[in-house]
Amino acid sequence: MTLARAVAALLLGAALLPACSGSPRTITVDMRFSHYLPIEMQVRAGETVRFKLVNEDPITHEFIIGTAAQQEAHEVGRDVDHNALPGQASLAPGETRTLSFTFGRAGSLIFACHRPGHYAYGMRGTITIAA
Amino acid sequence: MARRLLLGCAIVCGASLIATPAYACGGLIGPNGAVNLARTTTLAAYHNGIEHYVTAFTFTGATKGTFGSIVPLPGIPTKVERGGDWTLQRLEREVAPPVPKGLFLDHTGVAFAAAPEIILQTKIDALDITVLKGGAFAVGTWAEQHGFNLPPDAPSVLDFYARRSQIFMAARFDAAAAVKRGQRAGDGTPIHLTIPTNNPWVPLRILALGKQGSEVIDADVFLLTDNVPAMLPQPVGGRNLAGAPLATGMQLVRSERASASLMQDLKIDKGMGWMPKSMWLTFIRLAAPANTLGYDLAIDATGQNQPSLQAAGFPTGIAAAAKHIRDSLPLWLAWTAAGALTGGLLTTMLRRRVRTA
Repeated sequence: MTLARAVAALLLGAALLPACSGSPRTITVDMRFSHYLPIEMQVRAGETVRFKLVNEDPITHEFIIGTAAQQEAHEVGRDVDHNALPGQASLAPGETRTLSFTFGRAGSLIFACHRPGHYAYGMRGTITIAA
Repeated sequence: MARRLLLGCAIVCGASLIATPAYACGGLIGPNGAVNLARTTTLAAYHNGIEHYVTAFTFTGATKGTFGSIVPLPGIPTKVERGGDWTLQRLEREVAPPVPKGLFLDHTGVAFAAAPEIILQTKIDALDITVLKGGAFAVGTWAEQHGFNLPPDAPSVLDFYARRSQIFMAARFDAAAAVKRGQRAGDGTPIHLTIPTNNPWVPLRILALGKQGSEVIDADVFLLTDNVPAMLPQPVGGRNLAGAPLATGMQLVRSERASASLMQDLKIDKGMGWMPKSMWLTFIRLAAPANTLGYDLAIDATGQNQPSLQAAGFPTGIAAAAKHIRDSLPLWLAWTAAGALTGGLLTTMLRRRVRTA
């Protein structure tokens, strides 16, 4: 095995490690001035991610993972509390909450807030799911 | 007393002849977060180190729920009281005299701070007024907990103000009380705040709270000062302060010594007895898209021509202020300005050609 191949194998192993190990990777998502940080995330198909959601704003926010069609449906929905549903969370002002979610097949999803006016204001981001 | 009554009647009648604006101020927040404001009218009068801030809140006609407004203040008010019945209407009439009908065909018309400190609470008509002291997070959380449905831009707007002054006034309309009092949609409640401060300022950015980017914010701003005021940013048509940015959304309509009749009429309104014999009247009309309204109106009423960058919302310097205003200009406005400039140049060239021919 050449040195280059050995390095490549090590890097691939390191990349797959979070998906295969027992403890899921933690991604912290800050909500400030009605925007998310980060607004783009990369995960792997089948990976379970623990999201640490921090609402720094004095207003309620949501973190809802779904397809574009699902987000459109949420935009006209009337649910106030999303905490009992998978891949969804509602956060009171100043609240920190964790949410675990296992991603399916490769593709992309959107995370967004659907409090009145928040989605249109730009409170959304994308999750790219690599194969 | 008789003169007061007569004047009151005359102004109410006069005001009904002109296009009546819907008075309100601050960022108005409805039960569902949606707000509609036609025009805001505000008076910032300054004399002997005291700002007299007069504005009015309009009852929208909703029969239930609570809705209200949040207004940033430059300092702690010593008094919050019901304003006089005609001060704002009289100022509007001064700059737009009523036209008798039939005379013309055209009739267009974070930080997770503790709860905020409650400085003052009072009830004026159907309005519950609370003056708060606290950071953006504390005041915003208090507002949410007290029935204000803050729009998504509220956290950044409150932060913008809290960095300068952590004093806010929350005014909540009690719809049931308004109905009980017989208030009808469009009825305004004038509020008069007495605020000791080094110089007056008028919060403008708060007017864009919850508005769409292209939505035009209309406001009439009246100033009464001992001296000719210097302003930042400068309204179009104002005095040229070296290097100070020009706000294309603000138009200086009047800048003159207030007429004796205006002074007399205002002085006999409720709470206006503090007025001296003579003051300088400035009238600014604001018509700016919400996404360009990233500033407040700083005023230097001392005659030293040094309005505060901080009070205008530009703590990082005049160059940053100019850049901010330039960058916030919508493209159509830039093209319109460029078109007007080109048109002007062409007209001048043509005139010269005609003369030489």
